[in-house]
Amino acid sequence: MLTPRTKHVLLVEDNDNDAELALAMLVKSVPAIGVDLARDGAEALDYLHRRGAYASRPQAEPVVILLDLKMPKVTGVEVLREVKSDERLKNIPVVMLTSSREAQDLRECYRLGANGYVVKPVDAKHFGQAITRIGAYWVATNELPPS
Amino acid sequence: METTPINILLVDDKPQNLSVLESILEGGDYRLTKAQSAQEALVALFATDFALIVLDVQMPETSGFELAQIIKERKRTRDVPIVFVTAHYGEDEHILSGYHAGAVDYLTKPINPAILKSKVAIFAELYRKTKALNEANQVLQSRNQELVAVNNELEAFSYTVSHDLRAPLRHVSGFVEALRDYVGESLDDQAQRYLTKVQDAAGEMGKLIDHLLAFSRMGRTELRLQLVDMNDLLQRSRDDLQPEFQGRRIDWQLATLPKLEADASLMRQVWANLLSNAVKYTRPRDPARIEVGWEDSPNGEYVFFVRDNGVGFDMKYADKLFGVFQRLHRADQFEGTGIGLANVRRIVSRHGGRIWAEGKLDAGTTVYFAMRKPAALVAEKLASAAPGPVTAPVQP
Repeated sequence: MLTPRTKHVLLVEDNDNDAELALAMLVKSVPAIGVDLARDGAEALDYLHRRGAYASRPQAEPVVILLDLKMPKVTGVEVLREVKSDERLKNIPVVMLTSSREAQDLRECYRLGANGYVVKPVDAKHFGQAITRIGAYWVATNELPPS
Repeated sequence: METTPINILLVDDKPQNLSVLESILEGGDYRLTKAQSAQEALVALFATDFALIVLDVQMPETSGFELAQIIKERKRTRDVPIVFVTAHYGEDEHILSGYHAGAVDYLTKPINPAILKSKVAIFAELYRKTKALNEANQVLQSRNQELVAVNNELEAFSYTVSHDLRAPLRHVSGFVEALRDYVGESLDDQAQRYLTKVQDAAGEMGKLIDHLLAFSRMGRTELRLQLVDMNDLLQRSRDDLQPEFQGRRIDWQLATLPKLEADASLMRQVWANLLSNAVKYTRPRDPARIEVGWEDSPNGEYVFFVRDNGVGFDMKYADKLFGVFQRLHRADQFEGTGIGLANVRRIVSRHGGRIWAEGKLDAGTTVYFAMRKPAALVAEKLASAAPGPVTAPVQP
Protein backbone atom coordinates (compact mmCIF):
# COMPACT_ATOMS: atom_id res chain seq x y z
CA MET A 1 0.00 0.00 0.00
CA LEU A 2 2.81 2.44 0.81
CA THR A 3 4.60 3.63 -2.29
CA PRO A 4 7.90 5.45 -1.92
CA ARG A 5 7.62 7.33 -5.23
CA THR A 6 7.98 11.08 -5.26
CA LYS A 7 4.67 12.06 -6.80
CA HIS A 8 1.79 10.36 -5.17
CA VAL A 9 -1.88 10.82 -4.42
CA LEU A 10 -3.69 10.11 -1.20
CA LEU A 11 -7.02 8.50 -2.00
CA VAL A 12 -9.41 8.48 0.95
CA GLU A 13 -12.25 6.10 0.21
CA ASP A 14 -14.16 3.71 2.47
CA ASN A 15 -15.89 1.75 -0.28
CA ASP A 16 -13.78 -1.17 -1.60
CA ASN A 17 -15.25 -1.09 -5.08
CA ASP A 18 -14.91 2.65 -5.48
CA ALA A 19 -11.35 2.47 -4.17
CA GLU A 20 -10.41 -0.30 -6.58
CA LEU A 21 -11.97 1.42 -9.59
CA ALA A 22 -10.48 4.83 -8.80
CA LEU A 23 -7.10 3.29 -8.15
CA ALA A 24 -7.11 1.37 -11.43
CA MET A 25 -8.14 4.46 -13.37
CA LEU A 26 -5.60 6.72 -11.68
CA VAL A 27 -2.76 4.36 -12.43
CA LYS A 28 -4.02 3.94 -16.00
CA SER A 29 -4.24 7.70 -16.56
CA VAL A 30 -0.91 8.69 -15.00
CA PRO A 31 1.31 5.58 -15.13
CA ALA A 32 4.14 7.06 -13.04
CA ILE A 33 1.83 7.92 -10.18
CA GLY A 34 1.83 6.42 -6.71
CA VAL A 35 -1.43 6.02 -4.90
CA ASP A 36 -1.77 5.61 -1.16
CA LEU A 37 -5.13 4.51 0.08
CA ALA A 38 -6.72 5.45 3.39
CA ARG A 39 -9.90 3.54 4.20
CA ASP A 40 -11.60 6.22 6.26
CA GLY A 41 -11.13 9.72 7.61
CA ALA A 42 -9.37 8.60 10.76
CA GLU A 43 -6.78 6.66 8.77
CA ALA A 44 -6.31 9.64 6.45
CA LEU A 45 -5.56 11.89 9.41
CA ASP A 46 -3.12 9.33 10.86
CA TYR A 47 -1.40 9.23 7.48
CA LEU A 48 -1.19 13.00 7.16
CA HIS A 49 -0.05 13.57 10.74
CA ARG A 50 2.37 10.65 10.54
CA ARG A 51 1.06 8.86 13.58
CA GLY A 52 -0.14 5.36 14.49
CA ALA A 53 0.53 2.91 11.65
CA TYR A 54 1.97 5.78 9.62
CA ALA A 55 4.38 7.09 12.28
CA SER A 56 7.40 6.38 10.12
CA ARG A 57 6.04 6.48 6.58
CA PRO A 58 8.82 7.40 4.16
CA GLN A 59 6.84 9.44 1.63
CA ALA A 60 6.71 13.16 1.23
CA GLU A 61 3.25 14.72 1.36
CA PRO A 62 0.83 13.78 -1.45
CA VAL A 63 0.46 16.19 -4.38
CA VAL A 64 -3.31 15.94 -4.01
CA ILE A 65 -5.80 14.38 -1.65
CA LEU A 66 -8.84 12.77 -3.27
CA LEU A 67 -11.38 12.78 -0.50
CA ASP A 68 -14.71 10.99 -0.27
CA LEU A 69 -17.39 12.88 1.61
CA LYS A 70 -19.50 10.18 3.22
CA MET A 71 -17.31 7.99 5.39
CA PRO A 72 -17.78 6.30 8.75
CA LYS A 73 -16.05 7.66 11.88
CA VAL A 74 -14.30 10.77 10.58
CA THR A 75 -16.13 12.23 7.56
CA GLY A 76 -14.58 13.90 4.54
CA VAL A 77 -15.69 17.32 5.77
CA GLU A 78 -13.85 16.78 9.05
CA VAL A 79 -10.68 15.67 7.28
CA LEU A 80 -10.92 18.69 5.00
CA ARG A 81 -11.40 21.06 7.93
CA GLU A 82 -8.37 19.64 9.71
CA VAL A 83 -6.12 19.69 6.65
CA LYS A 84 -7.01 23.27 5.77
CA SER A 85 -6.49 24.54 9.30
CA ASP A 86 -3.08 22.87 9.65
CA GLU A 87 -0.11 25.13 8.76
CA ARG A 88 1.94 22.25 7.42
CA LEU A 89 -0.86 20.56 5.42
CA LYS A 90 -3.00 23.40 4.17
CA ASN A 91 -1.21 23.81 0.83
CA ILE A 92 -1.99 20.25 -0.22
CA PRO A 93 -4.81 20.48 -2.75
CA VAL A 94 -7.93 18.61 -1.67
CA VAL A 95 -10.37 17.44 -4.32
CA MET A 96 -13.66 16.12 -3.01
CA LEU A 97 -14.63 12.97 -4.89
CA THR A 98 -18.15 12.11 -3.91
CA SER A 99 -21.63 10.95 -4.86
CA SER A 100 -23.31 13.98 -3.36
CA ARG A 101 -24.43 16.91 -5.43
CA GLU A 102 -26.26 18.55 -2.53
CA ALA A 103 -25.84 22.32 -2.58
CA GLN A 104 -25.09 22.47 1.12
CA ASP A 105 -22.27 19.93 0.78
CA LEU A 106 -20.74 21.93 -2.07
CA ARG A 107 -20.99 25.19 -0.15
CA GLU A 108 -19.57 23.68 3.02
CA CYS A 109 -16.61 22.10 1.23
CA TYR A 110 -15.62 25.26 -0.62
CA ARG A 111 -16.11 27.31 2.55
CA LEU A 112 -13.62 25.03 4.26
CA GLY A 113 -11.13 25.53 1.43
CA ALA A 114 -11.63 22.55 -0.88
CA ASN A 115 -9.67 22.98 -4.14
CA GLY A 116 -12.11 20.99 -6.23
CA TYR A 117 -15.35 19.08 -6.09
CA VAL A 118 -16.08 16.20 -8.42
CA VAL A 119 -19.31 14.20 -8.45
CA LYS A 120 -18.48 10.60 -9.32
CA PRO A 121 -20.38 9.78 -12.49
CA VAL A 122 -22.27 6.49 -12.61
CA ASP A 123 -21.12 5.72 -16.11
CA ALA A 124 -17.71 4.02 -16.14
CA LYS A 125 -16.45 5.96 -19.17
CA HIS A 126 -17.36 9.27 -17.59
CA PHE A 127 -15.90 8.19 -14.27
CA GLY A 128 -12.73 7.23 -16.09
CA GLN A 129 -12.62 10.59 -17.85
CA ALA A 130 -13.10 12.44 -14.57
CA ILE A 131 -10.29 10.52 -12.90
CA THR A 132 -8.02 10.99 -15.90
CA ARG A 133 -8.59 14.74 -15.87
CA ILE A 134 -7.97 14.92 -12.13
CA GLY A 135 -4.72 13.01 -12.60
CA ALA A 136 -3.67 15.07 -15.61
CA TYR A 137 -4.23 18.34 -13.84
CA TRP A 138 -3.46 17.84 -10.16
CA VAL A 139 -0.64 15.35 -10.61
CA ALA A 140 0.93 16.13 -13.99
CA THR A 141 0.24 19.86 -14.45
CA ASN A 142 -0.24 21.63 -11.14
CA GLU A 143 2.80 23.00 -9.25
CA LEU A 144 2.93 23.15 -5.47
CA PRO A 145 4.95 25.62 -3.38
CA PRO A 146 8.43 24.32 -2.46
CA SER A 147 8.46 22.80 1.00
CA MET B 1 -70.77 12.48 14.91
CA GLU B 2 -71.89 11.93 18.50
CA THR B 3 -74.22 14.59 19.90
CA THR B 4 -72.46 17.08 22.12
CA PRO B 5 -74.29 17.73 25.40
CA ILE B 6 -75.49 21.32 25.58
CA ASN B 7 -74.71 22.69 29.00
CA ILE B 8 -76.65 25.76 30.07
CA LEU B 9 -75.98 27.74 33.21
CA LEU B 10 -78.98 29.45 34.85
CA VAL B 11 -78.04 32.19 37.33
CA ASP B 12 -80.63 33.84 39.56
CA ASP B 13 -80.61 34.58 43.26
CA LYS B 14 -84.27 33.50 43.63
CA PRO B 15 -84.91 29.72 43.58
CA GLN B 16 -88.43 30.17 42.24
CA ASN B 17 -87.07 32.10 39.17
CA LEU B 18 -84.62 29.29 38.52
CA SER B 19 -87.46 26.81 38.69
CA VAL B 20 -89.42 28.81 36.15
CA LEU B 21 -86.46 28.86 33.74
CA GLU B 22 -85.89 25.18 34.32
CA SER B 23 -89.48 24.24 33.60
CA ILE B 24 -89.50 26.25 30.38
CA LEU B 25 -86.31 24.63 29.09
CA GLU B 26 -87.19 21.12 30.20
CA GLY B 27 -87.53 18.67 27.38
CA GLY B 28 -85.16 20.71 25.21
CA ASP B 29 -82.39 18.13 25.60
CA TYR B 30 -80.20 20.50 27.58
CA ARG B 31 -78.13 19.80 30.63
CA LEU B 32 -79.13 22.56 33.05
CA THR B 33 -76.97 23.82 35.91
CA LYS B 34 -78.41 26.23 38.44
CA ALA B 35 -76.49 28.85 40.41
CA GLN B 36 -77.95 31.18 43.04
CA SER B 37 -75.06 33.61 43.25
CA ALA B 38 -72.15 34.94 41.27
CA GLN B 39 -69.89 32.76 43.41
CA GLU B 40 -71.77 29.57 42.56
CA ALA B 41 -71.87 30.56 38.92
CA LEU B 42 -68.08 31.03 38.77
CA VAL B 43 -67.51 27.68 40.46
CA ALA B 44 -69.77 26.00 37.89
CA LEU B 45 -68.08 27.85 35.02
CA PHE B 46 -64.73 26.61 36.19
CA ALA B 47 -65.85 22.98 36.10
CA THR B 48 -68.00 22.81 32.98
CA ASP B 49 -67.95 23.99 29.39
CA PHE B 50 -71.20 25.93 28.90
CA ALA B 51 -72.97 26.73 25.66
CA LEU B 52 -74.92 29.58 27.22
CA ILE B 53 -75.48 31.49 30.46
CA VAL B 54 -78.94 32.79 31.30
CA LEU B 55 -78.13 35.51 33.81
CA ASP B 56 -80.40 37.59 36.03
CA VAL B 57 -79.24 41.19 36.10
CA GLN B 58 -80.56 42.04 39.54
CA MET B 59 -78.76 40.05 42.18
CA PRO B 60 -77.56 41.08 45.64
CA GLU B 61 -73.80 41.41 46.28
CA THR B 62 -72.49 40.83 42.74
CA SER B 63 -74.93 41.99 40.08
CA GLY B 64 -75.45 40.20 36.77
CA PHE B 65 -73.44 42.82 34.91
CA GLU B 66 -70.55 42.60 37.37
CA LEU B 67 -70.53 38.82 37.03
CA ALA B 68 -70.63 39.17 33.23
CA GLN B 69 -67.60 41.41 33.39
CA ILE B 70 -65.67 38.80 35.34
CA ILE B 71 -66.77 36.11 32.87
CA LYS B 72 -65.67 38.19 29.88
CA GLU B 73 -62.31 38.92 31.45
CA ARG B 74 -61.43 35.26 31.89
CA LYS B 75 -59.92 33.54 28.93
CA ARG B 76 -61.66 30.27 29.61
CA THR B 77 -65.16 31.77 29.79
CA ARG B 78 -64.76 34.81 27.53
CA ASP B 79 -66.58 33.29 24.58
CA VAL B 80 -69.58 31.85 26.44
CA PRO B 81 -72.62 33.82 25.29
CA ILE B 82 -74.84 35.41 27.93
CA VAL B 83 -78.57 36.06 27.86
CA PHE B 84 -79.36 38.72 30.47
CA VAL B 85 -82.74 38.63 32.14
CA THR B 86 -83.71 42.19 32.99
CA ALA B 87 -86.78 43.83 34.46
CA HIS B 88 -85.91 47.28 33.13
CA TYR B 89 -84.74 47.05 29.57
CA GLY B 90 -84.79 50.83 29.08
CA GLU B 91 -82.29 51.42 31.90
CA ASP B 92 -80.02 48.51 31.04
CA GLU B 93 -79.93 49.10 27.30
CA HIS B 94 -76.77 51.20 27.33
CA ILE B 95 -74.94 48.51 29.28
CA LEU B 96 -76.07 45.76 26.91
CA SER B 97 -74.90 47.77 23.92
CA GLY B 98 -71.40 47.75 25.42
CA TYR B 99 -71.03 44.07 24.57
CA HIS B 100 -70.12 43.11 21.06
CA ALA B 101 -72.84 41.51 19.00
CA GLY B 102 -73.31 37.80 19.41
CA ALA B 103 -71.68 37.75 22.82
CA VAL B 104 -74.85 38.74 24.66
CA ASP B 105 -78.58 38.93 24.27
CA TYR B 106 -81.32 39.91 26.69
CA LEU B 107 -84.80 38.93 27.82
CA THR B 108 -87.25 41.12 29.69
CA LYS B 109 -89.32 40.03 32.62
CA PRO B 110 -91.84 38.57 32.75
CA ILE B 111 -90.25 35.87 30.67
CA ASN B 112 -92.07 34.78 27.55
CA PRO B 113 -91.43 31.02 27.38
CA ALA B 114 -91.56 30.86 23.59
CA ILE B 115 -88.93 33.61 23.21
CA LEU B 116 -86.66 32.06 25.84
CA LYS B 117 -86.94 28.68 24.16
CA SER B 118 -86.15 30.04 20.73
CA LYS B 119 -83.20 32.15 21.93
CA VAL B 120 -81.72 29.21 23.81
CA ALA B 121 -82.23 26.97 20.80
CA ILE B 122 -80.36 29.44 18.60
CA PHE B 123 -77.41 29.66 20.98
CA ALA B 124 -77.40 25.87 21.38
CA GLU B 125 -77.22 25.48 17.61
CA LEU B 126 -74.47 28.07 17.38
CA TYR B 127 -72.54 26.21 20.05
CA ARG B 128 -72.94 22.89 18.26
CA LYS B 129 -71.80 24.33 14.96
CA THR B 130 -68.86 26.23 16.42
CA LYS B 131 -67.77 23.12 18.24
CA ALA B 132 -68.03 21.00 15.09
CA LEU B 133 -66.13 23.62 13.14
CA ASN B 134 -63.36 23.77 15.73
CA GLU B 135 -63.09 20.02 15.76
CA ALA B 136 -62.95 19.86 11.99
CA ASN B 137 -60.30 22.56 12.06
CA GLN B 138 -58.24 20.66 14.58
CA VAL B 139 -58.46 17.49 12.52
CA LEU B 140 -57.42 19.45 9.46
CA GLN B 141 -54.53 21.02 11.27
CA SER B 142 -53.19 17.75 12.57
CA ARG B 143 -53.67 16.14 9.15
CA ASN B 144 -51.73 19.02 7.69
CA GLN B 145 -48.91 18.53 10.16
CA GLU B 146 -48.88 14.82 9.42
CA LEU B 147 -48.74 15.57 5.71
CA VAL B 148 -45.82 17.94 6.11
CA ALA B 149 -43.98 15.39 8.22
CA VAL B 150 -44.66 12.51 5.82
CA ASN B 151 -43.64 14.68 2.91
CA ASN B 152 -40.35 15.64 4.53
CA GLU B 153 -39.68 12.02 5.38
CA LEU B 154 -40.43 10.98 1.83
CA GLU B 155 -38.08 13.61 0.43
CA ALA B 156 -35.31 12.55 2.76
CA PHE B 157 -35.97 8.91 1.97
CA SER B 158 -35.95 9.36 -1.78
CA TYR B 159 -32.80 11.43 -1.55
CA THR B 160 -30.91 8.91 0.57
CA VAL B 161 -32.05 5.96 -1.48
CA SER B 162 -31.20 7.61 -4.77
CA HIS B 163 -27.88 8.70 -3.36
CA ASP B 164 -26.96 5.26 -2.08
CA LEU B 165 -28.19 3.56 -5.24
CA ARG B 166 -25.68 5.41 -7.35
CA ALA B 167 -22.66 3.71 -5.79
CA PRO B 168 -23.48 0.08 -6.71
CA LEU B 169 -24.47 1.23 -10.19
CA ARG B 170 -21.15 2.95 -10.61
CA HIS B 171 -19.51 -0.32 -9.58
CA VAL B 172 -21.54 -2.37 -12.09
CA SER B 173 -20.54 -0.01 -14.86
CA GLY B 174 -16.97 0.31 -13.65
CA PHE B 175 -16.24 -3.39 -13.33
CA VAL B 176 -17.82 -4.21 -16.66
CA GLU B 177 -15.39 -1.71 -18.14
CA ALA B 178 -12.57 -3.28 -16.16
CA LEU B 179 -13.60 -6.72 -17.40
CA ARG B 180 -13.59 -5.48 -20.98
CA ASP B 181 -10.06 -4.15 -20.47
CA TYR B 182 -8.95 -7.36 -18.80
CA VAL B 183 -10.32 -9.78 -21.36
CA GLY B 184 -9.58 -7.47 -24.26
CA GLU B 185 -9.68 -8.74 -27.83
CA SER B 186 -10.57 -12.30 -26.91
CA LEU B 187 -14.21 -11.32 -26.34
CA ASP B 188 -16.44 -12.26 -29.27
CA ASP B 189 -19.13 -9.93 -30.63
CA GLN B 190 -21.97 -11.45 -28.66
CA ALA B 191 -20.06 -11.14 -25.38
CA GLN B 192 -19.21 -7.54 -26.24
CA ARG B 193 -22.88 -6.90 -26.98
CA TYR B 194 -23.95 -8.29 -23.61
CA LEU B 195 -21.42 -6.15 -21.78
CA THR B 196 -22.60 -3.09 -23.69
CA LYS B 197 -26.16 -3.89 -22.67
CA VAL B 198 -25.17 -4.18 -19.00
CA GLN B 199 -23.39 -0.86 -19.18
CA ASP B 200 -26.19 0.87 -21.05
CA ALA B 201 -28.71 -0.38 -18.53
CA ALA B 202 -26.56 0.87 -15.65
CA GLY B 203 -26.20 4.21 -17.40
CA GLU B 204 -29.97 4.41 -17.97
CA MET B 205 -30.66 3.69 -14.32
CA GLY B 206 -28.08 6.27 -13.34
CA LYS B 207 -29.97 8.80 -15.41
CA LEU B 208 -33.26 7.85 -13.77
CA ILE B 209 -31.73 8.20 -10.33
CA ASP B 210 -30.16 11.55 -11.19
CA HIS B 211 -33.50 12.82 -12.43
CA LEU B 212 -35.25 11.55 -9.34
CA LEU B 213 -32.61 13.27 -7.22
CA ALA B 214 -33.07 16.53 -9.05
CA PHE B 215 -36.84 16.18 -8.69
CA SER B 216 -36.52 15.58 -4.96
CA ARG B 217 -34.04 18.43 -4.57
CA MET B 218 -36.34 20.76 -6.45
CA GLY B 219 -39.15 20.03 -4.00
CA ARG B 220 -36.93 21.06 -1.13
CA THR B 221 -35.23 24.18 -2.41
CA GLU B 222 -36.73 27.43 -1.24
CA LEU B 223 -38.49 29.62 -3.75
CA ARG B 224 -36.72 32.91 -4.43
CA LEU B 225 -39.52 35.09 -5.66
CA GLN B 226 -38.78 38.13 -7.75
CA LEU B 227 -40.33 39.97 -10.65
CA VAL B 228 -39.48 37.82 -13.63
CA ASP B 229 -39.42 38.75 -17.30
CA MET B 230 -40.98 35.70 -18.91
CA ASN B 231 -39.89 36.84 -22.40
CA ASP B 232 -36.27 36.73 -21.36
CA LEU B 233 -36.63 33.24 -19.88
CA LEU B 234 -38.50 32.04 -22.94
CA GLN B 235 -35.87 33.39 -25.34
CA ARG B 236 -32.96 31.97 -23.38
CA SER B 237 -34.67 28.58 -23.06
CA ARG B 238 -35.20 28.52 -26.82
CA ASP B 239 -31.61 29.55 -27.50
CA ASP B 240 -30.39 26.69 -25.31
CA LEU B 241 -32.43 24.29 -27.42
CA GLN B 242 -30.90 25.48 -30.70
CA PRO B 243 -28.72 22.38 -31.18
CA GLU B 244 -31.83 20.18 -30.88
CA PHE B 245 -33.66 21.76 -33.79
CA GLN B 246 -30.78 22.73 -36.03
CA GLY B 247 -31.62 21.95 -39.64
CA ARG B 248 -35.32 21.65 -38.93
CA ARG B 249 -38.01 24.01 -40.13
CA ILE B 250 -39.93 25.33 -37.16
CA ASP B 251 -42.48 28.12 -37.36
CA TRP B 252 -42.15 29.83 -33.98
CA GLN B 253 -45.01 32.03 -32.82
CA LEU B 254 -43.90 33.67 -29.59
CA ALA B 255 -46.20 36.19 -27.94
CA THR B 256 -44.95 39.02 -25.74
CA LEU B 257 -45.49 37.66 -22.26
CA PRO B 258 -46.42 39.54 -19.08
CA LYS B 259 -44.12 39.65 -16.07
CA LEU B 260 -44.62 37.36 -13.11
CA GLU B 261 -43.58 37.15 -9.51
CA ALA B 262 -41.72 33.84 -9.51
CA ASP B 263 -38.45 32.01 -8.98
CA ALA B 264 -36.51 32.84 -12.14
CA SER B 265 -34.38 29.71 -12.35
CA LEU B 266 -37.34 27.43 -11.74
CA MET B 267 -39.51 29.28 -14.26
CA ARG B 268 -36.72 28.89 -16.76
CA GLN B 269 -36.86 25.14 -16.19
CA VAL B 270 -40.57 25.27 -16.96
CA TRP B 271 -40.00 26.96 -20.32
CA ALA B 272 -37.00 24.78 -21.11
CA ASN B 273 -39.03 21.63 -20.49
CA LEU B 274 -42.14 22.71 -22.35
CA LEU B 275 -40.19 23.98 -25.37
CA SER B 276 -37.99 20.93 -25.40
CA ASN B 277 -41.09 18.71 -25.43
CA ALA B 278 -42.62 20.74 -28.23
CA VAL B 279 -39.41 20.48 -30.26
CA LYS B 280 -39.11 16.77 -29.55
CA TYR B 281 -42.68 15.74 -30.32
CA THR B 282 -42.89 17.76 -33.54
CA ARG B 283 -39.87 15.96 -34.96
CA PRO B 284 -41.96 14.16 -37.61
CA ARG B 285 -43.46 17.50 -38.77
CA ASP B 286 -42.12 19.68 -41.57
CA PRO B 287 -42.61 22.45 -40.92
CA ALA B 288 -43.25 22.16 -37.21
CA ARG B 289 -45.31 24.87 -35.59
CA ILE B 290 -44.73 25.93 -31.98
CA GLU B 291 -46.79 28.69 -30.47
CA VAL B 292 -46.32 30.31 -27.07
CA GLY B 293 -49.02 32.64 -25.83
CA TRP B 294 -51.06 33.70 -22.88
CA GLU B 295 -54.54 34.70 -21.85
CA ASP B 296 -55.78 36.98 -19.13
CA SER B 297 -57.95 34.91 -16.85
CA PRO B 298 -60.72 36.65 -14.88
CA ASN B 299 -59.72 35.06 -11.56
CA GLY B 300 -56.44 36.92 -11.18
CA GLU B 301 -54.27 34.53 -13.18
CA TYR B 302 -52.33 34.55 -16.39
CA VAL B 303 -52.81 31.38 -18.38
CA PHE B 304 -49.73 30.62 -20.47
CA PHE B 305 -49.70 27.97 -23.12
CA VAL B 306 -47.29 26.14 -25.40
CA ARG B 307 -49.02 24.69 -28.45
CA ASP B 308 -47.46 22.43 -31.06
CA ASN B 309 -48.56 20.51 -34.10
CA GLY B 310 -46.66 17.41 -33.03
CA VAL B 311 -47.66 13.82 -32.45
CA GLY B 312 -50.09 14.78 -29.66
CA PHE B 313 -51.57 12.30 -27.22
CA ASP B 314 -54.79 10.54 -26.43
CA MET B 315 -56.78 12.56 -23.88
CA LYS B 316 -57.60 9.41 -21.95
CA TYR B 317 -53.99 9.40 -20.78
CA ALA B 318 -54.05 13.09 -19.87
CA ASP B 319 -53.72 12.37 -16.14
CA LYS B 320 -50.56 10.34 -16.71
CA LEU B 321 -48.79 13.15 -18.48
CA PHE B 322 -47.52 14.85 -15.35
CA GLY B 323 -46.59 11.76 -13.30
CA VAL B 324 -43.01 10.92 -12.33
CA PHE B 325 -41.43 8.57 -14.89
CA GLN B 326 -44.73 8.36 -16.78
CA ARG B 327 -44.22 8.14 -20.52
CA LEU B 328 -46.71 7.96 -23.35
CA HIS B 329 -44.15 6.91 -25.96
CA ARG B 330 -41.75 4.06 -26.28
CA ALA B 331 -38.11 4.92 -25.62
CA ASP B 332 -37.19 4.08 -29.23
CA GLN B 333 -39.75 6.62 -30.53
CA PHE B 334 -38.91 9.56 -28.30
CA GLU B 335 -36.10 9.63 -25.78
CA GLY B 336 -36.52 10.74 -22.18
CA THR B 337 -37.06 9.42 -18.67
CA GLY B 338 -40.48 10.94 -18.07
CA ILE B 339 -39.47 13.38 -15.36
CA GLY B 340 -39.80 16.62 -17.32
CA LEU B 341 -43.49 17.36 -16.96
CA ALA B 342 -43.49 16.07 -13.38
CA ASN B 343 -40.85 18.70 -12.65
CA VAL B 344 -42.86 21.35 -14.46
CA ARG B 345 -46.00 20.50 -12.54
CA ARG B 346 -44.11 20.63 -9.28
CA ILE B 347 -42.63 24.03 -10.07
CA VAL B 348 -45.98 25.43 -11.14
CA SER B 349 -47.81 24.10 -8.10
CA ARG B 350 -45.10 25.35 -5.78
CA HIS B 351 -45.88 28.80 -7.16
CA GLY B 352 -49.56 28.25 -6.39
CA GLY B 353 -50.36 27.71 -10.06
CA ARG B 354 -52.13 24.98 -12.03
CA ILE B 355 -51.12 22.99 -15.09
CA TRP B 356 -53.04 20.89 -17.57
CA ALA B 357 -52.80 19.72 -21.14
CA GLU B 358 -55.00 19.18 -24.12
CA GLY B 359 -54.12 17.03 -27.05
CA LYS B 360 -55.26 14.84 -29.85
CA LEU B 361 -53.40 11.89 -31.24
CA ASP B 362 -51.41 13.01 -34.30
CA ALA B 363 -52.85 16.51 -34.03
CA GLY B 364 -50.65 18.28 -31.52
CA THR B 365 -50.49 19.16 -27.86
CA THR B 366 -51.22 22.28 -25.87
CA VAL B 367 -49.85 22.55 -22.35
CA TYR B 368 -51.43 25.29 -20.25
CA PHE B 369 -50.24 26.65 -16.95
CA ALA B 370 -52.01 29.26 -14.87
CA MET B 371 -49.96 31.50 -12.60
CA ARG B 372 -51.13 34.16 -10.16
CA LYS B 373 -50.63 37.68 -11.41
CA PRO B 374 -48.13 39.74 -9.47
CA ALA B 375 -49.60 41.89 -6.67
CA ALA B 376 -51.95 44.60 -7.99
CA LEU B 377 -49.52 47.46 -7.42
CA VAL B 378 -46.75 45.81 -9.30
CA ALA B 379 -49.14 44.90 -12.08
CA GLU B 380 -50.14 48.54 -12.43
CA LYS B 381 -46.56 49.65 -12.81
CA LEU B 382 -46.06 47.01 -15.45
CA ALA B 383 -49.19 47.81 -17.41
CA SER B 384 -47.21 49.61 -20.05
CA ALA B 385 -44.62 46.86 -20.30
CA ALA B 386 -47.19 44.16 -21.05
CA PRO B 387 -49.30 44.79 -24.14
CA GLY B 388 -52.36 42.70 -24.89
CA PRO B 389 -52.16 38.99 -25.65
CA VAL B 390 -50.98 39.18 -29.22
CA THR B 391 -48.98 36.51 -30.97
CA ALA B 392 -46.19 37.87 -33.07
CA PRO B 393 -44.14 35.67 -35.33
CA VAL B 394 -40.48 35.62 -34.40
CA GLN B 395 -37.62 34.54 -36.61
CA PRO B 396 -36.02 31.34 -35.36
